[in-house]
Amino acid sequence: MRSHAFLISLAILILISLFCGITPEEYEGEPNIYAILTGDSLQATVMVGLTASIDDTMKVDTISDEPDEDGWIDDWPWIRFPWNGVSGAEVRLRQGGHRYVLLEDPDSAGYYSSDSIQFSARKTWELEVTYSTGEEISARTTIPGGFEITSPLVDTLAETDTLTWTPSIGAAGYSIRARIWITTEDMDTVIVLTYPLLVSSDTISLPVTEIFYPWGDSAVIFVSALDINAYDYRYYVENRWDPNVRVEDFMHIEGAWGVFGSQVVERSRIYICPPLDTLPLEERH
Amino acid sequence: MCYYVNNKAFVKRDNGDNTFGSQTVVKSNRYVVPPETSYPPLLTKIEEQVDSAMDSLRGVMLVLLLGVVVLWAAETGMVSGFVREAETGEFLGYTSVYLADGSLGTSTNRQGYYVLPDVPEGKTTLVVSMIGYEEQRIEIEVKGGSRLRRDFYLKRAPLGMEPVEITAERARFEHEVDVGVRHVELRELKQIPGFVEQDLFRSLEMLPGVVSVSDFTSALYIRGGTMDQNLVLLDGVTVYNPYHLLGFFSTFILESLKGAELYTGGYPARYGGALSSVLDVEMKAGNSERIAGYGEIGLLTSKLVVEGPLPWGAKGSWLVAGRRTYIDAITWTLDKIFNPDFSIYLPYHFYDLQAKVNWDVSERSRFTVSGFFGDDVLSLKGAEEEGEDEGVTDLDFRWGNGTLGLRWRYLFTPQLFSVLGFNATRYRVDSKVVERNGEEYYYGLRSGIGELGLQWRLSWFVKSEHVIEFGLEGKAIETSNIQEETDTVFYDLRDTLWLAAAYVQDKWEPTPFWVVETGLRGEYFSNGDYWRASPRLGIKRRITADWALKAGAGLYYQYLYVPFPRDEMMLRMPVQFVQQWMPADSAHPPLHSTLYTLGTEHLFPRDMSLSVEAYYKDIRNIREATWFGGEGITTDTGEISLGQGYSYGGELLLKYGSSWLGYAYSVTKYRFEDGDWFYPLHDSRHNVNLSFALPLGKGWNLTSAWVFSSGFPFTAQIGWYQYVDEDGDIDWLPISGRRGEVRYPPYHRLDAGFTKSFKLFKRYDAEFYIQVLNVYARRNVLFYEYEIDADGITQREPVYMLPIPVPSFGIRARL
Repeated sequence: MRSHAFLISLAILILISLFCGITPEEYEGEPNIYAILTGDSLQATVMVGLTASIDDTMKVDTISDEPDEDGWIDDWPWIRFPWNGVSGAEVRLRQGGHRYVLLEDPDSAGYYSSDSIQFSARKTWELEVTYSTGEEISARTTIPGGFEITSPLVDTLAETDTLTWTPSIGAAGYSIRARIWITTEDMDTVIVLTYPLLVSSDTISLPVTEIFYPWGDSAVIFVSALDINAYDYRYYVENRWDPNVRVEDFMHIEGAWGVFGSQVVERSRIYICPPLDTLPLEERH
Repeated sequence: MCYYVNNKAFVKRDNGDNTFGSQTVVKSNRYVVPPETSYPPLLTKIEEQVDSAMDSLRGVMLVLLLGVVVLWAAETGMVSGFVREAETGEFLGYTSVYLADGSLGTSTNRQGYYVLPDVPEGKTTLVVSMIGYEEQRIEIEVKGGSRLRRDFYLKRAPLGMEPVEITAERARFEHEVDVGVRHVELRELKQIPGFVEQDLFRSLEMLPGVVSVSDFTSALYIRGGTMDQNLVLLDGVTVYNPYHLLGFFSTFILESLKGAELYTGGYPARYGGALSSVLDVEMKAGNSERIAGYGEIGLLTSKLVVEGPLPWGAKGSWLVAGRRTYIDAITWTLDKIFNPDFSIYLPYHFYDLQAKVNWDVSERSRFTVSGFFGDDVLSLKGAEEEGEDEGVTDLDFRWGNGTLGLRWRYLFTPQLFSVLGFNATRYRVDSKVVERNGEEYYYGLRSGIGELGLQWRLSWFVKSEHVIEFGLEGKAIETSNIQEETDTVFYDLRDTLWLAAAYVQDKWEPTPFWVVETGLRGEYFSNGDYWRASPRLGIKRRITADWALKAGAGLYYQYLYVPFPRDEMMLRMPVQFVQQWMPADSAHPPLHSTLYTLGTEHLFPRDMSLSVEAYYKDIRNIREATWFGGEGITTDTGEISLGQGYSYGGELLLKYGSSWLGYAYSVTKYRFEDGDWFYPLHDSRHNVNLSFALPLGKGWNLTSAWVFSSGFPFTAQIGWYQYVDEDGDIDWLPISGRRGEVRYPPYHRLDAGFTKSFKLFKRYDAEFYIQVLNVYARRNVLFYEYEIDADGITQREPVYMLPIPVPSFGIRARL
């Protein structure tokens, strides 16, 4: 009798336990924006779209297990996604008393652009987006001040050279990358765009060897001064594996995921990169 | 004829008739028994017992008065002593000691000591009784005002002998409040199959209220608390990180232990410094009668325990126990035999050494020295690295515990019992990497916590039913965290802290139905200059001979902590060998909790018992690490955020012999700074534990353990947002849901084992065992990975814990 009671108690407890799950959270798409204004430019594009639930099926553009254009396989298979855009939104940019309405590209859903607005350094711009479903988004950015690359001011680059630039007023950080031309053993020319190096505004110099990998035949270096919105957008995505980071807390955009930021880009002269003696050619690549 | 001492614990059937008396007979100022003749349905039984209790109560009140008058009028003497096991000399706690006429009785304390202060003058028979042992009776003659010392050595009862009905459990039931206390004996620990071998912590996971969150760690989460909120004591000395192999094993050699008491709440004032629980592990004293041994050879570990009496005629005993893994040797051998593409050689091992010496200088005085040393070692010499930086690298990681305890126990009088102790403990991590590639590069990480302390405890047995305990403690605690490389010291953090405590604890049984335990503990912590007082209260009220209600409340403080990692995965993975113990300081006050417990206990015939408890715990000033998930070391206490939490629930434990069924319902929530309340990973709503042992005959035994936990909470990925990189490529990146909002599937696992007893070399008791973890290959989810496939559909791939049955086997023998 007691053993029966024991087993019945056990069965009841198991049943209680089995039916005590918690329903997973439901999630529906939210506004998702991408726009980086560039100083000294006339062109602006605001990408207006939606996030997705894990239950949604994403659109896929291309699938490849070949190396990407930079020569690297990021993932396998390598999937290229189109922008999950939203049509019918009202997209406006404001600066001072001026108001500009951006028009949607009829061939690309969710791409709103203009090529006749003058974006200048140190100007503050506001973005207003109204979705056709009623959601309203607003954000602002101040384009960082102009700056200059101050070294190396030579044509031929050495391993020991250091890249330096003047500070950009209002920049939260800099993104540095190089375009490198490399001649392969087959005498083909490959262009490699290095992975951007993100540094805070405290840094205004870097050894060129930190920027260059691989070492090539010639190269040009781009330094982008980023406002806080653009900098945080990059920085917290690079550090998204840190569980302390909630990327949404650093997007500086009200009511949406994404970014509305700005940058000023400086480009170095084209450097000649003589072969390094220390390594065989194949290992340089 | 019936004797009623310690309730119906023993009913002598000296007339050969098995009929139990139908009336409650009270012959003393002690206990009352409502006898039972059968096992009626529960309600009828409760009704009968309540009626019986009320009748008894009236009778007791009358007889108590008479008893007191008679006792005052009579001359009395005192009898005291220790009760030990005859074969080993081991002290037997919670053993019943009583006069044969049933007029007076008590039980030994945990140290096996008893006092009967009011034994009437004249000749009488003293009886000592304990389940599993032969009853002992001796004639004594007590003179008024005399003090007799009588020690007992109980022999184990031969098989087939009718067992005495007095159990340690009953003794505890009658004389201890035991709110939230789980007393686990070695035999119970040994019946839980383990990973490779049986393990103390793995066995404790089988108790209600104790949660383990993963197969990969034996860290315990008790009543909503985190692992650093458990105080682990080995012979009274703190062990800070009692794990091997990053949490797969605990550091204690099971066969060298006498038992363990786990206080899941409501622990008495003599304990302090932990919010959630106290695990008080006691090492065996060693065999004082003969040299004996125990050996075990297992799949990955072997151990040896040797014990014996002190030489040269000195009274006392010693014990030495050792254990070592040979994972390194086995993987090296397999590597050489099979020569796989990737080396499977794991240059890792751990070892433990435990020792204890007891010296009985006189009947009054005993010295004890006990120590424990254990290390994990990962050592790789001269590993060749491939590639352009080819060179030689030496890795040497060592981490482990060491404890040393000295005790001097002295009986000033039979009623005054003093223990003076010195404690030393340390946990240290020492890891270094040396690269030799032309130049020598050194990287080192050293971390540790250590204590040196003195403690003094005075137990005053005012009466057999009234014990007052005073205590003083003082210790210096040193923490250190150093990270350095060649010519550079990244940080060198060292702290010396002082903790002092004083307490008084009073256990009183004002009537046979009440046990009241009160206590007050005062503490001083130097870092931040904190003075704290912690009142404790426990009450038990016996409603019938077998049924009691109990309640407890207390305030608890903790001054050293390991910050709660924000990354919940850190809790599911093996224990970090670098644990940064941080002290409370002026900006971060001590952690504290308030615990309220209400419970009931019922003893049934045939060694069956039921315990039900409900609790509510309020937790304040808990810490969360805001640096990278709480991993590694921080040099900035600004990276600690303060939080609060609460936990409530109910626990049920139904024990039948050595088997038990446990169930726990609990709710735990935490909140840090101004964040939202969330369910931490160890919030397990429903827990079922079944431990089952069955003799199969011919020396075969089945042992099994089944554990079930409703899903553990986690922060799920609920969506994706579009990220545009510098090249304009679009990537989908994860959106996390609310913290701890979703649950993994239920966790369950069956472990089972068989043992076969036999005689080794026709002489030694031996046992072959085979055990299998995860018998039915339950695939419990460790975490999920999310990926968008080529069709644009999100695939959620679970990563499992132990997905297959894991067998192990070995042989053990008692020498």
